[in-house]
Amino acid sequence: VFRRSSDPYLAWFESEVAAHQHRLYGFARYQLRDEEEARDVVQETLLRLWTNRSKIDRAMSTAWLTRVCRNACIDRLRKRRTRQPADLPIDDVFADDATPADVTLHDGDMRERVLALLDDLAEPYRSLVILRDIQDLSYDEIASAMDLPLNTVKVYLHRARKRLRTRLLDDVRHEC
Amino acid sequence: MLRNEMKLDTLDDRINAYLDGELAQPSVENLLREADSNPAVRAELDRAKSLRWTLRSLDDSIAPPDLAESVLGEARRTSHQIERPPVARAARGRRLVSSLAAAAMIVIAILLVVPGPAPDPAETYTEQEVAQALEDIYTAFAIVSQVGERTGRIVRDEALMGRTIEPVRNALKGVVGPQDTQL
Repeated sequence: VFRRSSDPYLAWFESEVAAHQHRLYGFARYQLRDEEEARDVVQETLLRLWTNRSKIDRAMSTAWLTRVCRNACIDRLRKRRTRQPADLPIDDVFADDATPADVTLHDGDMRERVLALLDDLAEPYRSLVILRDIQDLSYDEIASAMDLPLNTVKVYLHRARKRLRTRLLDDVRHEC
Repeated sequence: MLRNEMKLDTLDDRINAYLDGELAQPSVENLLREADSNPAVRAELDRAKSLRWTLRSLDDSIAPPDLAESVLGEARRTSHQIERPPVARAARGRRLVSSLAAAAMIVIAILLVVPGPAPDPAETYTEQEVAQALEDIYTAFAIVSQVGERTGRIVRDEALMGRTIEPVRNALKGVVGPQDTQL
């Protein structure tokens, strides 16, 4: 797939695709919970990188790609209208205060519980958790990708983690 | 004791900083000692670590194998449509400057070679002024010579029309060579 090319733009683009395709796909998959849509979003994102290849600051490609991919996901979620993708007031970490429907109280699989809770997390908290705690991007990269001040990223992320822990604890208590 | 300047008011703040690796070693030791002596702190810390590990374990997405091929195929297909704005703009700029220089030179040359009304005795020129005028023409020719043979022919055919004066002929020879000055 990644043949070397004498075209400098093409060689650079090949390395960008190799470096980011899996991470972007993971991000889109956790945002959309639909593999086909995630694939489409990543393809669209990478082709936009190619289209804008002469204008991109290469040092910022991670943040640029993440921003474009996230915006594409949010657009699709808006069209679906099955979630609340828009940024919510600061206290509304979860899109819906009801217990997430996908969490079965007798389900012992922590991974599945966390996925369900993540699914119910509102924006921008869900993106922050995915980028930082799943994909291990730096705070600086996240702030740049989401166009948020660094301290805001930290405050929001801490809040999201706390709420996730509280929800998990609630689930365990319900099981008991 | 925090590496950055975030304020740590609560246990939750300290746990977050600990998970981010932003808690300095003495604070880490304090937190762990506190967890050893306080079951509530231990439980909270364990839940936080468990959540973090679970989230990290989710980083296992592999893009479909045909995704990269599809994207790169499109890129290769359109790679010849590559836009090179800085180079293109520079080339256009050079062409514009050359065209303007050619136009200016044509005007100067016509003024020099086309006989006008009898000169007013008061409008005589010093040798220095004539030398400067020839120098200007020389510069204009030098610029025009950058745009190639076609423009050179236009200048020759349209401006000089076989009636060039000797100083201009000499200036032209200096730029485009004697073979092009058989005017």
